[in-house]
Amino acid sequence: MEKTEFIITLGDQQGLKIPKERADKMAEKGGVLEMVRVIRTILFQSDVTGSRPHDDLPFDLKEVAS
Amino acid sequence: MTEPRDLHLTEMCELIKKGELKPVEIVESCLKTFDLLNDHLKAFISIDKDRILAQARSMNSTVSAPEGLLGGIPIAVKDLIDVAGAVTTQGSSFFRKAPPADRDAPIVDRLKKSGVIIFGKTNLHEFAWGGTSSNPHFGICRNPWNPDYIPGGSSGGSGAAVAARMVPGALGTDTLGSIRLPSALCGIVGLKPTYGLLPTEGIFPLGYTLDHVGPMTRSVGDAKLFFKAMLRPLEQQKLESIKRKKNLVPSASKRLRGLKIARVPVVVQEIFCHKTTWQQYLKSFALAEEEGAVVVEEKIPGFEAALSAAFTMTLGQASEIHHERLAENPDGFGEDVRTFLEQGHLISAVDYIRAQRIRSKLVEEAGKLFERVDAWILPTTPNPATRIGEGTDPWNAGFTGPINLLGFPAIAIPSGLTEDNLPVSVQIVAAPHQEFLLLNIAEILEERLGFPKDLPDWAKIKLETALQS
Repeated sequence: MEKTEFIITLGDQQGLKIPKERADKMAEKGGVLEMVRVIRTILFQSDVTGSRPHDDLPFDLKEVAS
Repeated sequence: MTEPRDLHLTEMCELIKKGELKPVEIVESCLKTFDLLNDHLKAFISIDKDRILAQARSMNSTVSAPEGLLGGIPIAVKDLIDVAGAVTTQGSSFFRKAPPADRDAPIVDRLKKSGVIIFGKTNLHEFAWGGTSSNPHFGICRNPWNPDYIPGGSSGGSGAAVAARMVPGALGTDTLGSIRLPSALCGIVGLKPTYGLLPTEGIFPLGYTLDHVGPMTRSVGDAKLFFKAMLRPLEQQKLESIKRKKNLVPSASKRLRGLKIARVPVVVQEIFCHKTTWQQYLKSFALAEEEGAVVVEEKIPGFEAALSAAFTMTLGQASEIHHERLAENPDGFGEDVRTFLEQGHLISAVDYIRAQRIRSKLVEEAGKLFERVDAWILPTTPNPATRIGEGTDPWNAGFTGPINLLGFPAIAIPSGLTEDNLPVSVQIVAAPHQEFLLLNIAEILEERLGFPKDLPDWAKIKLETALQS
């Protein structure tokens, strides 16, 4: 599947209508698809041994101050 | 006599308490500045002059000074934050005609209890999702240092309003740097407190787990007073007790003696930085050493992934928040925000979980760093303001976004001016809940860096011309 078609299909599966000209732009060199790939590469080069997914941060003023 | 708008927030408070200045004099001076500058700067989205003046006059009619830490002080609020009776547009076409908020966001409520006069709602990057504040629905917000340049974002209206002295302080929000970046580009001070310390209810989210609210002012002293007004008394007491636990032995000439300050290499290094940004960043370490601090080279393992993790989480969260709007009316968004929201739909759950694991790991590693040091200095952003229309590089959040991921408190202070007379800034980071230590260090470095206290060039010329005519 070519990149433009991939973006349109992925959008469609999520209920978004991404027009072809926008998908073309997202797929071009330096576009958002490439940016996501770069980010993903950086994320998966990182050593996360021993860590668990955690979203909200655990800072508690009472604990810190006591 | 000094025009009241030229006074710092702390000076205004002092003079009001002494009975030497009336809230209405400050408000009239700020309104005059607003009338002269806002058409061009587009710092404000809405303002209710009659209400502000009536409130200020009612404060004048009391025998004693208005009560509260910020009694009688006009403060602007980013138009992402609810103020009862005003529409919260979020800088978006979707909410332009929304009903007015029926209650204040808790942070606004706290400020009102401290006596502030809400001056108006400031312009922002649409939905706070971007760094230019060139808003397609409410006008292009401009930088008072040079209106051909962006004020930064997303709290660009707050930055421009404070720098141009339309108000002595403003509320901003910060998910990847949205308080600190406009503060840096507009030559003012911006504080992002510890994650979760200040309530974010009543503030439209960009990234639920990265959003912060904080003050933007013209000096560190002003930020300190503003920040105190945002805290509950018990919280202030607890935070100040943490500061006192630090065994400092400062002297008049070595005010940072006993402190260890870290220099940590991060992804965006010298090569990406404007020469003045880098020069002033290095100068801040030299000044800290002159003040008795020990500067140490440190590392946070894995920190090079911090911006990508923060960006991944913001992309995912923002796209989830706006999913229905994007599906039903994509043309309702400005081009850049629409692109970010579509991009967020390309992030997978796998990416998001990896970003969360990176966050956990980095919070742990940064915690270890702050067992060895008291503060960490880094540039606020690699570059000064760019020209309107040129957009911004995501790397401009390379020094701020990672700190949102950590949730540690950070403050941006002006560090100098480029050859083109555009401000640059340094950022100081401390351990969670060390805001008062952070503010004390910032106050000393602010004084030593000696950023000009004059009005930004463009605003000064504009106001002086108006005075002469």
